[in-house]
Amino acid sequence: MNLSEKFPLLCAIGILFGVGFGFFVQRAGLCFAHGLGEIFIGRGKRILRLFLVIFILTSIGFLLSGYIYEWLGLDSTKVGLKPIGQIRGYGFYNVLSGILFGAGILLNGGCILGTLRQIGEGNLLFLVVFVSFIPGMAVVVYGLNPWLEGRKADVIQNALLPGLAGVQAAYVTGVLVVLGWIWFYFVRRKTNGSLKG
Amino acid sequence: MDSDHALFDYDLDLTGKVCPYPVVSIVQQTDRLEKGQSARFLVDDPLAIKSAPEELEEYGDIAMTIEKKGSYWEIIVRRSA
Amino acid sequence: MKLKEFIKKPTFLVGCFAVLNVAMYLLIQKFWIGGSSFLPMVGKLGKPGAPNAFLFAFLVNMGVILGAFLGATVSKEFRLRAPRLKSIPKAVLGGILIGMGVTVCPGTCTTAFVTGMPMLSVSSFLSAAGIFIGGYITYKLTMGRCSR
Repeated sequence: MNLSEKFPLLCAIGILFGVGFGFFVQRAGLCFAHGLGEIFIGRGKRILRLFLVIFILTSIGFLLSGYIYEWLGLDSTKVGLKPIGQIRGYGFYNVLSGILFGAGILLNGGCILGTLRQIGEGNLLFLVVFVSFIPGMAVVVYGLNPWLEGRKADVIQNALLPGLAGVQAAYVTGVLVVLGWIWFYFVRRKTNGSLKG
Repeated sequence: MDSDHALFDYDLDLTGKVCPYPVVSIVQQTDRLEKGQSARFLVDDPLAIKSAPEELEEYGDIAMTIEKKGSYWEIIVRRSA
Repeated sequence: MKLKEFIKKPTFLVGCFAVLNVAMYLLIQKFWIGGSSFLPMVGKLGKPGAPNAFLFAFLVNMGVILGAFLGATVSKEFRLRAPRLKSIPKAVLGGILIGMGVTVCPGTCTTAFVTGMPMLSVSSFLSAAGIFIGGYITYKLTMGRCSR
């Protein structure tokens, strides 16, 4: 059952999962640009609830993926915790990319998820946003990256929290999940629809 | 019951506004409502009608009704006297 | 709380979303990344030879648009809205900033919050910090004024 060779099949499965992602994101009303807006006006409970549920379930799932693969007798090096993206320039460029990204999503009200969701909901403004990704990307891909290539500061590494902290991954995830659960308890919805005045 | 204009202390047309402006405006406007006052918001962002109720739940004294009107929703927020 | 109500609760729906994300990872050993999946749009298809992650994630994100359309029609929230002229400049500037942010380093809300942090990847925590900083700057510049 090794799928990574057959790339078209892989993409077909990916699109199906994408449809599932889009459906649940739209129904749940998940948008991190919206979430940031809520947090900045001091209200962030709703987005915290959504994020904590995602974090708890996904981190447990990713942690166990290695064990599940072992249990199924599959090659468990294929799964398990994997670093996402590289730490570039001792982390400076990661924070810089976050700043640019955060500034952008609050400006037009749509992170990647929000942009895709609102295109699906018929808001054509986000087609404009989607198309205007291209100049931004071109500036960096053809402008900044070549210039950065030669520089010393362009150190590329990727690390996982457990690796950095020198602790077993299970402990880190375990602690974070427990903290997440407690936090979720404090931000859960106390009243249920008492608003229907 | 087409709620006419004069009934509300505040009347904000948030259609066309891009998220997160609608909910931010709704919540900030609700903060300013005094006892017995009410506000009407016109919104066309589906996310606003999902998150506004959850955000305003913390207030004990706020009643909110959401009514779908053609291409937009009408949110009426009333603070009890 | 009847079942019909429960399956409408956002926390439950987001739970399904997370389980689906893990299921994809288990099934095809690929996780979902957000922004850097648009690099094919500028001709960067990712590392040659290896099944390029960018193209794959781009197709997953096209599926997300389809899924959102399905969700919107099911819940009758679909509304074809032409953009208003006065909100286009902000949208274009926002899009350019996002485009730049996405390519300086992989790390969008999706990559950082949905997949990166649960993967305990340090670069995602860095991007998340940056997203908060950048977001706050824009919030102060735009929303601080408009609500008064």
